[in-house]
Amino acid sequence: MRGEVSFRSKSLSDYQLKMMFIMPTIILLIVMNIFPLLWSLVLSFSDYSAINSQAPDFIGTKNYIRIFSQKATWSYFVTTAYFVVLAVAAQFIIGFGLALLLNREFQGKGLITTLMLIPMMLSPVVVGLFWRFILDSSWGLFNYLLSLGPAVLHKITAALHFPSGIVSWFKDAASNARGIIWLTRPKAALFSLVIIDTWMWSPFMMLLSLAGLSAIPKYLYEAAEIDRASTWFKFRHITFPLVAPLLLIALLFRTMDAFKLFDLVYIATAGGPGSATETVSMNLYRRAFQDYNTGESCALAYILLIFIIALSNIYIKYLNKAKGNA
Amino acid sequence: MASVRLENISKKFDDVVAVDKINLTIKDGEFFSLLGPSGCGKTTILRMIAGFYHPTFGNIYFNDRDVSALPPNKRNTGMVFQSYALFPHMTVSENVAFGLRVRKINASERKQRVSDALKLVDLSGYEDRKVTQLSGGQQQRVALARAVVIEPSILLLDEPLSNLDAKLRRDTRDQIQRLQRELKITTVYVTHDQEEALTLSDRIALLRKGVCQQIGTPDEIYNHPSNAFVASFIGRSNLLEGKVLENEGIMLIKVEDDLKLNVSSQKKLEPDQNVTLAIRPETIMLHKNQESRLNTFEGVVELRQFNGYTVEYNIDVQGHKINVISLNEETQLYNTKDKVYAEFPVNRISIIPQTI
Repeated sequence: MRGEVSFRSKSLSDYQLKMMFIMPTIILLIVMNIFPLLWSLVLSFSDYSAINSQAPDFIGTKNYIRIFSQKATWSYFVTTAYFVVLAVAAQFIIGFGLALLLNREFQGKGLITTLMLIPMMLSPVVVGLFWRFILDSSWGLFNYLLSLGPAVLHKITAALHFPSGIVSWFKDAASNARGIIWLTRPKAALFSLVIIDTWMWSPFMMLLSLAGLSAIPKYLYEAAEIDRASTWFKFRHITFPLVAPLLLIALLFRTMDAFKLFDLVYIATAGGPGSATETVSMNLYRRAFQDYNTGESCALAYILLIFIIALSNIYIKYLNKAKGNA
Repeated sequence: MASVRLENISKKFDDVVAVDKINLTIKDGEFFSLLGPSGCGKTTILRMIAGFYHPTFGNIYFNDRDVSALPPNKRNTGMVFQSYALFPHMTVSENVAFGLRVRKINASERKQRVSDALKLVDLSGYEDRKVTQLSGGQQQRVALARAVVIEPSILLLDEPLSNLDAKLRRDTRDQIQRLQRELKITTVYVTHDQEEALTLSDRIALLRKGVCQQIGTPDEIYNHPSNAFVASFIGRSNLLEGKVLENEGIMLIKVEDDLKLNVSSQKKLEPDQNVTLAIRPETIMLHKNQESRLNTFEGVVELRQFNGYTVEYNIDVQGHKINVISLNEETQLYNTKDKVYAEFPVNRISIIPQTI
C-alpha cells in the first residue's frame, strides 16, 4: 500500500499519463495528415510549382476559377461519374449475389470464400498489369473465353448441318469476339476499367454483405416460414431491410474509393486512349507530377474532396434512415 | 383446431438420439406441456410438430392427416419462439400483420384482425411502436399476438417465458392461460419449469434423454409419479428404497428393520420385490409425541429453515435424511436437535417398483 502511494506521488498524474499515450498519435496525425491538408489548402490559393524554388504566390481563387472554366475538367468528372456508377453498381450486384449464394452451409465453404477474396488482396498495380495481358486483343484470355461459346456453337451447328446463315453467324461472332479491342478503343477502355475494378472489388462487397447476412438470426426466417412466407417475400421483407445498413456502408466505402481511382487507370490505360479514361485523380496526378502545376492540382484535390464529402453525406443520411428502420 | 398424434417418432442427429420412440396424442383444444431438463428432446419434438425437423422414424398426424413430410408453411401452426423472433425493423402492427400480408388478406380486414389480436394481449395503442422499444414482456405478448392472429390449428410455444423475470413470468403465464381458454386452441407448450407446466397444462409429458417418462394430468404426475426421476423432477420427494413384506390389503414395506411403512396402493407387487417409496415433504406430519399413530417414527431435527408461510426441516430418521415442509403454525415449531415423530400418511406414499 505504501509502495503504491509513493508510486502515485512520484510519477505522472492521470492527465500526464493520458497525454503520454495520446501524444504520439496526435503528433503523427499532425505531421502526416493535418499539416499537409492545411498546407495544400494554402497552396490551392497560390501560384506555386514544386520544381521551382520560388515561394508560393497568393493568387486568391484564380486556380479554382481556372479549373472550373476548363471544359475538360467537367469531362473528367463525367468520366469519373460513369466509372463510379457502373463499377459500384456491378460490384454491388455481383458481391451481394455471391454473398446470398455463400450464406448457407456446404462443404468447402471456407475455402471458396477465401479464394474469392484473393482479388481484393492483390496490389492494384499487379491487377492492372495482368489485366492488360488478359484484355489484349491479339492473344488475351478474355477474348478467347468470349469467343469460346460462339466457336463451339459454330462447330455444333456445322456438324448438324444447320442452315448456312446460322453457321456463318456463329463463325463471325467467334471471330468478332477474338478481335475486340478493349484498352485502346475509347468506348471500350472505360468499360474495361469497370470490368477490372469489379473483378477486384466485388469480393469486398461480398464480404460485408456476407457479414450482414450471417448476422440475421435464423429464427426470423423460421417465424416467417411458419407464417407461410415465400422465399421472395422473406428476402424483400426480412433479408434486405436487415442487411441494408451494412450494404450502405459497403457502398459508401466503394463509392469513395472509386471516386479517387488512380492506380488502376495509371497502369492499365494511363487515362487513354486520348482522354477517354482520364478520371479526376488521373488528371490530378498529371497536373501535379507531369505539368508540376502544384497550386492548381491542390485546388483540384480540394474540389474532389468536397465532392466526396457531399456524396458521403447523402449515403450517411440514408444509412441513418436504414439504421433507424433496422 | 386439431388433435396431434405422434406415432413412434424418433429423431437422430448423426449418432445422437435426441428423441426415442415417442407415442402421444394431444387432444383437440388441449393445453399440453412437454416438460423435462435441458437436452431431454422437448424442443426437438416441438420443432418436429412445427415441421422444422422431420422425424427419423415414425409419423406425425394432425387429426388423421399425416403431416410428417410437410414443410412448416403447409401445417397451419402458430409458433412463439424462445427469443420471440420479432422482426426488429417493423412496428408492432407490422409484426402482427406479417402472416396476414403473406396470406394476402385485404388491408381493412388485416387492420381489424391485428387490432383484435393486440386487444387480446392487452397491447392496444402500441400499434405504431417499434418492437425494439418494448419491454421483454410486451415483446412476448406481440409474439403471442402474431402467433394467434393467423388463426392456427395448433399453437406451439417454445419456452416463451424463459427470458422474463419472475413477476412478469407469472403475469404472462396467466395471460397465456386465459388466451388459450378463450380461443380453445390446441396448444403444445415446451418448458423446463415444472411450476409453469403444472399450473398451465391440461396434461404433461415428462421427458428425459429423449424418452417419455410419464404422461398425465398435473395431479397424476405430482401425486403418482411413475418412477424416481419423475418423483424428484416434479416437486421434491423423499426417496426410500425398500422391499415388499406383505401385499395383502395395505402393503407393508421394509426400509430398515425398525422402519417398516404401511402403504395404500392398487399396484400388484410380489413379496420380496424391491421398490422405491416416494414421499412428498409436505405430506409428512411432525408430532411431539408418538401417540401410537401408524407409520410414525422417531427422528431428530438436523436443520430448520424458516421460509415465511412454511418451515422446512431435515429430519434424521434412522439414518435417513427426511425432508419435511410444514405450514408455519407458531405452536408447532421445532428447533434443531429437537426430538420429533414423523408421520408418513398411508395413502400419500407413492410406490415405485424397481425394474432391476
